[in-house]
Amino acid sequence: MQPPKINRAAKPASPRLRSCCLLILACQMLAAASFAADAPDHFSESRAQALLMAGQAALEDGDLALAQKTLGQAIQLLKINEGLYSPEQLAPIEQLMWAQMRSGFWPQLDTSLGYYYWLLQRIEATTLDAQLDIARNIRSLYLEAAAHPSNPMPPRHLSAALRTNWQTLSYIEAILGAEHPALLPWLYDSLILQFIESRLNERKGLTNYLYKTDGGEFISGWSLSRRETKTTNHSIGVSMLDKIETIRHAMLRAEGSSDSATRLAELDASLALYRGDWESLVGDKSVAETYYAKPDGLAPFKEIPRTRNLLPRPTFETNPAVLKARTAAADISVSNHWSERFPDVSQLLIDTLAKNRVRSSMP
Amino acid sequence: MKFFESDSLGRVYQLSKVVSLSCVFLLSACALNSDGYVRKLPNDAEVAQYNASVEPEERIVCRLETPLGTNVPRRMCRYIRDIEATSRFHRDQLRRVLR
Repeated sequence: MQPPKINRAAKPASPRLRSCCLLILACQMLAAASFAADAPDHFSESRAQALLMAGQAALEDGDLALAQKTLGQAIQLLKINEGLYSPEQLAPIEQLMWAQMRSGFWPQLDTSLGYYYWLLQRIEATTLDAQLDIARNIRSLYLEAAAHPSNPMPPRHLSAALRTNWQTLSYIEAILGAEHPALLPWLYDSLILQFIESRLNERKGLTNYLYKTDGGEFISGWSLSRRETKTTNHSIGVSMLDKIETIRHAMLRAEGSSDSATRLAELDASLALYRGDWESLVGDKSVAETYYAKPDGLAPFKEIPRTRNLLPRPTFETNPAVLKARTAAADISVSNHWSERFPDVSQLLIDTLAKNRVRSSMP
Repeated sequence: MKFFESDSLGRVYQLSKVVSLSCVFLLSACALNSDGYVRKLPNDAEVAQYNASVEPEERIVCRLETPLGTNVPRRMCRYIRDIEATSRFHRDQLRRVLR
């Protein structure tokens, strides 16, 4: 390729024209520089974090509209910055779902839940603890949705909470084995959820939702009778206590400590107490009395209250001192009721369900 | 308890009644496979756990049913889809007869 010809015959530009050109060029450069300094970087990581924090703060303050707006923006930014399948989105989506649920925006909540589950299927590198945290959070979300006064279909969300708990149990069994201590809090939570289900005022369609569909459409027709549902509720609670007994006995055998005889006696006494509670709540009062008579052989267990408005006890404990203190704190007559829709369920019970992480680390 | 205060014949009668009833309930809790193995039906907790992990159309329901020809209820487990298909079939048959 030939180099371009230089026009040596052309006249040099006048100094006036040259200075004018230089001035225009400088002005353009200055304008570009000042624009770059003023414009925010919409896609910076710090901006996404700031939006997330602002959304979280708005949610805590009860400004649900602002929370939904800022969290929605944070999710979009994280999608752009971190990728479509990025796990960083999980936290803001969870917060967004809480804001939508508290606002009573049910179709939007369904959309967010759909996206959340879709995302969870694509995130592989995560720990068991993180997955259990997710399950616990979703379960609490469904429970609070079931209690929301404007919810048109509370049984649907209640059955979703129960289903989440069962799925978590199946998952732990598949990963760690059917007799692993990590199952214990979830087993006891199953019992509490059965109690909550038995207290739902509007039971219409509940068994249909449980068995036939997970969707939002109204189902009519075939259903279990109230008596059958009550029997099933009772039977599931008994099975959960049986499983807790099996796992706890296996743990004591494996430990083989010097005070195992005392601990075994305490375990049997507390199990009898919990079985009595369960019979008192959803079963036969005379059977409850029979169970309650058993732990009285151990002096410290005699002092543990058994009044109905203290039940169910929020946690499974075998130490009589701890059991006594926790039971007293659970008095529904002094603590808040959770919801009009679920009589006899205290706020403390729901709060304890939301943070069973502490109990999962117990020996 | 009154049961232990009755005479010996009555006690034997009562005992045999209890034993036979227990056997009936024990048998009703089991089902016989075509190959002769006796398998235990799932309890309510196992059913709930299973149902939570499968699609709605794969769910089962277990309930006490009293088959024709006996007054002894048996625990039966069926797929929801089968219960509905049977129910639909019977409704259609009834409609055809009544037409």
